[in-house]
Amino acid sequence: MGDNSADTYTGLFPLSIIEEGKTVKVVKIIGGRGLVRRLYEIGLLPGAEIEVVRNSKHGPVIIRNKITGTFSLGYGVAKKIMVEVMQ
Amino acid sequence: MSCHELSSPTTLGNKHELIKVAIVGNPNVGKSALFNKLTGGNAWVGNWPGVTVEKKTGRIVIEGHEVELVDLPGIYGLTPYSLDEVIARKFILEERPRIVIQVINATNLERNLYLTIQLLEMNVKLIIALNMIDLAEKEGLEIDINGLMNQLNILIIPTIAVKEVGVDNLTKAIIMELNSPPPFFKINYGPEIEEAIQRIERILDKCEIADVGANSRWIAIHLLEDDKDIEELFRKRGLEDVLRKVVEIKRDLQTRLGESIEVLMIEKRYQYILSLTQKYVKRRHVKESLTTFTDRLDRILTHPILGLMIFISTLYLLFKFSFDVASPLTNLLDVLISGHVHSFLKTLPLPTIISSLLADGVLQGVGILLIFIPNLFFLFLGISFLEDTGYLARVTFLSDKWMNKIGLSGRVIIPLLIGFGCNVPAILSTRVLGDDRDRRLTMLIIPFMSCSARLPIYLLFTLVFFKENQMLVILSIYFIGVTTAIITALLFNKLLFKGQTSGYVMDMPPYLIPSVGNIFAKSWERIKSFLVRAGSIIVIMMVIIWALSIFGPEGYLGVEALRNPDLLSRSWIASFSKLIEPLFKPFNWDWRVISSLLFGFVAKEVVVSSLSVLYNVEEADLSTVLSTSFTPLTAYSLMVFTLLYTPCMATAATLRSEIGLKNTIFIIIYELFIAYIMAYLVLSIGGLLL
Amino acid sequence: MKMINYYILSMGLTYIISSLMFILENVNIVKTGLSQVTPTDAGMALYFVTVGTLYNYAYFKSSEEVFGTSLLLASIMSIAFMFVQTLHYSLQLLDLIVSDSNIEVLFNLMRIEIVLGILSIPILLKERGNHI
Ligand SMILES: Nc1nc2c(ncn2[C@@H]2O[C@H](COP(=O)(O)OP(=O)(O)O)[C@@H](O)[C@H]2O)c(=O)[nH]1
Repeated sequence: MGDNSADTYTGLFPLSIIEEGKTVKVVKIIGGRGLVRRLYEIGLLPGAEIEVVRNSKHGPVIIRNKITGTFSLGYGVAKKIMVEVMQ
Repeated sequence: MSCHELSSPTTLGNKHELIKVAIVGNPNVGKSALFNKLTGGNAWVGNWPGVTVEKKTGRIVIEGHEVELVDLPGIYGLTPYSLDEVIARKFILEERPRIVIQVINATNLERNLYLTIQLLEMNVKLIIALNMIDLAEKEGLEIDINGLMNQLNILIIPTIAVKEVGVDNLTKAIIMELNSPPPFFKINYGPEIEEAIQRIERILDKCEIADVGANSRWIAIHLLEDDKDIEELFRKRGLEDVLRKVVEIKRDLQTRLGESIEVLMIEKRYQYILSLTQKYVKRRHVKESLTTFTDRLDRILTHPILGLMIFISTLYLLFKFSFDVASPLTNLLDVLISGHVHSFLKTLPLPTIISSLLADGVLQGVGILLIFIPNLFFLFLGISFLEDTGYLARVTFLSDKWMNKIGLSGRVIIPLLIGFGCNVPAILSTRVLGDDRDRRLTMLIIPFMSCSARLPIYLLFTLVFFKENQMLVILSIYFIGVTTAIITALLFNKLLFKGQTSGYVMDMPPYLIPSVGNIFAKSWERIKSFLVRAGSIIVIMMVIIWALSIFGPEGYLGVEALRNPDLLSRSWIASFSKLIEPLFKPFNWDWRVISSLLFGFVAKEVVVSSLSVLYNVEEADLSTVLSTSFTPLTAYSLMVFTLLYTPCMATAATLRSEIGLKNTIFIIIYELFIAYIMAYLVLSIGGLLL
Repeated sequence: MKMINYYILSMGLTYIISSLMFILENVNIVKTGLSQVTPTDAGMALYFVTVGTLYNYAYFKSSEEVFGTSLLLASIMSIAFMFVQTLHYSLQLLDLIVSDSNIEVLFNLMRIEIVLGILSIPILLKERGNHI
């Protein structure tokens, strides 16, 4: 593989700790129904690929979904989205 | 009656009937801009029944038809999440507007079409206003509008809201759609789900739910998606057995699919949308599109260090703009009102008590209001400007990390900022916060944001006692306000509002150059909400205070009491102040200070003018009197007290309408308590140091 | 090309030096007495540092893409400040008519932030052309 940083991510992680510039795949969202549903509706469905544009670490993230566009998610939301890092 | 399709049969061609048209759309699509253009700015802002979200309506006449346009809050889908969204959905379902106009951002069709699909599934008569086509063009998007129109079988009108392009076509479309049948629309969710939908529909057909406002397929779909509101509706009607059967069908389906039904259904919708956009949207390559431009700006504006520096600088400029630019205008207004108009009223041939009522009661109240306006207007202009450029969305991002530390989400920063101008619109602006907990906590701390009405008090005292470091001392007061807010938030996090903020989900709109008209319209709307809410209360309270000053336990004292401290000391106000004077023993404030603080409850800036009356001096000479009855330390503790002691009358009234009397009284008592403690702390710590 | 780079560098340095002078004056190290060219309060000093940083960032990263963006932001911020101050001082002049504040206000219209704001206009025009 050769890419070190990719190796450090195997398995599930909350979106809030993913480095900027990585592309991740949403696996599941832990949270209240309203929130989960809202995230689904803006395209953050399990299986969807999103790019982490900004991550302020222990703060909010900015993500981009190819289909639905750019969103900013508060820290409270970002840590509830479990993702898998794409190679 | 069994479960019929959709709403009541439409009465055709009746020109006297009021036609309700709802305007919906995702946030940031240009909905309010289009609404303003459609109504010609003649919107009427009220409240939705039962809740306090603003309801904007406007009436227009199109070809003899009277049309009422209702602006619904921005929503992403029809599943409610925040208070705003509950209302939007309720309106469409229960009030059944004849036509729904969805405003779509043409640069982001995919996301916007999701709502379109949901609306079409409800079989509402839909017109699409394809807004921002100018930007779509710049982005290199070619949208085959005719193709899309034929495929979806609805009218699509391209518009540029800020330039009023397409608005006429839109009004024509409303009339065209009036008499056409509601569209029929169906997405194929795949054999398994379709079968389940049909099974549920068959059950629904046997029950009375015609008034839900949608067809049975829609209800079936929403039951499959665990729509809590619909389930609740069934429960209310004692239709639990239907729900039980639905649960069985769902369980059945779940085992066959092996995946979440809800996710699959949303995926199907997106697949459908993608099939549409692949067919009808072509992308040309453009050198620098809005997206790449926005990305590049964001690299700096959301940068952890540079971004924060720019944010604080922008904030500084925003306040500088609203205070500095407004202050000459405020002075002018002040001279005009308390000088010219006041003496004019006094010269009118009226009984003294009437002319005093007008001049010292009503005019005083109106004056307080008017004097705020320049300041507030400039602050709102600045905020609306930043909002329309898209920068405020970045501010939310930047502050989320910090706000999280006190248990709030980044979205709270905007109400708090507005609070520095005036607490009333700040409290109103908390409505967009999705989370009830965040909302209450924010309302609790907003009064600690030192609004512009408190500045005159600081200016007066710092001028007398801290001439050398005036700016620094005033800054320290603001700082104490913010610190108290932080401590309060932390405290209540532990005590009342357990847990963490649920965070926020927010669209990051591209950076745009705002339209001047839109900014002025928005600012005016905000000013109006302040005037409507605060206006009558301030004027009425001023009159009450006026009455309490010219009457006393002995009866009528005469209007001279307002100018004569000996008389005034026998008024009701003075009697009450003397009664509670022992409470303020530690501060060494006499009844006059306490009276002026009582006056200050109406609007804090009144403290200064009432002090001058009570000490029987001109406002200009107030400083000499004050310097004898205060020390720098007691003056500072008084400033801290006025900063914190209670939200003013207008703020309290707004709080009451938002969160009820009980909570408001709690906030007032809490803040009195905090003010007392902080002022006392200032005195004792200061006493030790000096 | 070279000319414009020096222009940008000197703008950035002016902002930074001006705010440094503010700091020096306030900790009483030197008394320059040049109140026309230093910020009037701490907030303004921070503003100057920010704009100065953006200009310098643009100069030192001129090979990269952020160059243009940084320059665009710096010129916008610089002009915005000029705008606010000009409006403020002009309205103060208006106030002169009704009250008796002194005519010194006129000199404020030549303060450093207004001059630098005007000098930023060509940069904004150039960058705007490149962007949108
Ligand atoms: N270029 C362009 N800008 C628009 C158009 N419509 C709205 N805007 C801008 O988009 C921003 C958001 O508009 P607004 O009406 O506040 O959106 P809302 O959140 O949907 O109510 C504002 O800066 C508007 O000036 C349009 O058709 N073309």
